[in-house]
Amino acid sequence: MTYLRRHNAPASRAKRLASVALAVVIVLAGAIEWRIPRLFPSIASSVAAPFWRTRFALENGALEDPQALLAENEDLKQQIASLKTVTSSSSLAILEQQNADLLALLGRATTTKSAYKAAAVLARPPFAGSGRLIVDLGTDEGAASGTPVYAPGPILIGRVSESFGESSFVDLLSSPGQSYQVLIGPGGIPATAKGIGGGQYTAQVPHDSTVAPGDIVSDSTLHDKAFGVVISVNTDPSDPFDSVVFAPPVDIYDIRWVLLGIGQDINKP
Amino acid sequence: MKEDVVIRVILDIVLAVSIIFGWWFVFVPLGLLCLWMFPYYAELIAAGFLYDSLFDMDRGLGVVGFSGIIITAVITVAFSVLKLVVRWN
Repeated sequence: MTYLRRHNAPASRAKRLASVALAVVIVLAGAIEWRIPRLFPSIASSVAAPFWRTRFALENGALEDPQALLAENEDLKQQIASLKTVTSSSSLAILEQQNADLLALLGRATTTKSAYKAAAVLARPPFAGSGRLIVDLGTDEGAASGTPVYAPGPILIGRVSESFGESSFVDLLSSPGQSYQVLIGPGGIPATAKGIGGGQYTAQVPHDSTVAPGDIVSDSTLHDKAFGVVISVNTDPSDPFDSVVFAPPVDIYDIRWVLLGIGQDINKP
Repeated sequence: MKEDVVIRVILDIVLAVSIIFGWWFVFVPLGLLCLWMFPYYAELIAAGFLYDSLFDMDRGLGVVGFSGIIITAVITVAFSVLKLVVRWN
């Protein structure tokens, strides 16, 4: 097939000038990013945030009938009230009180002011980057690098890596390269949970441990928050350690809300 | 000519919005189509930069943090050469 040439100059002077200008812009942008690392992500997040919020609102019933929303709200209030009644009279409340009393007795009561703040998940993997969430709570609300992030429960799932005015990047602890100290099973075997992606972790425990699928994995803090549930234990007779695979009891790729532990920093021991 | 500019601006907006929402199934074919349709479609490189700024740019990731701009720049140059070979635009 013969294509007719549309003009004599394959690459006009204007195009060459534009190419040079583009190259200069790219180099300049790279230099600015190098000197002021979070400038462009901060601007881009500010521009994108209204779009993300709009989509989040639409996905969560912003266009639904107000009467239906009010009815649902009332129903949820009743559910919360009934759950409060159940938990306040259950052994869970007694154990929590006992834990708080023991911590106070041992001089380890929480003295720092910390609070949970709910944040909407604006973007999730793969588009928020591998193993990363973007949430709509930033430095304006007290989020900072190292702030722990919990799925409803609360279940520790990640930590804030970068924080801007109205949004934050959250690195999931289950993403490859991340690790966290945990206690596995009823015996509380200490281990290092390593993220393997897909919302799962792996950890090594001694061969003779009694860890079994279904065992609870907790974070290794004094407050013993839930961290995951053991899915499988892989045993190799030639290996002195068993490989335990576990995951949070919630689907972290499907959650729409998370809790940020404002005032806490899990990067600090 | 003016219509071309209007269509180009509209498609630029669609491209930007699809990147913000992470709709790869929109921005990949649309980006390639625009690259073929319009002369010197530098907006694709800007789109790569927007993607990196939103989701990728991280000191810890090194060059990988700039994968969007690198890939779009390579595709833009490859398409420019290809269009030159077949004398298109």
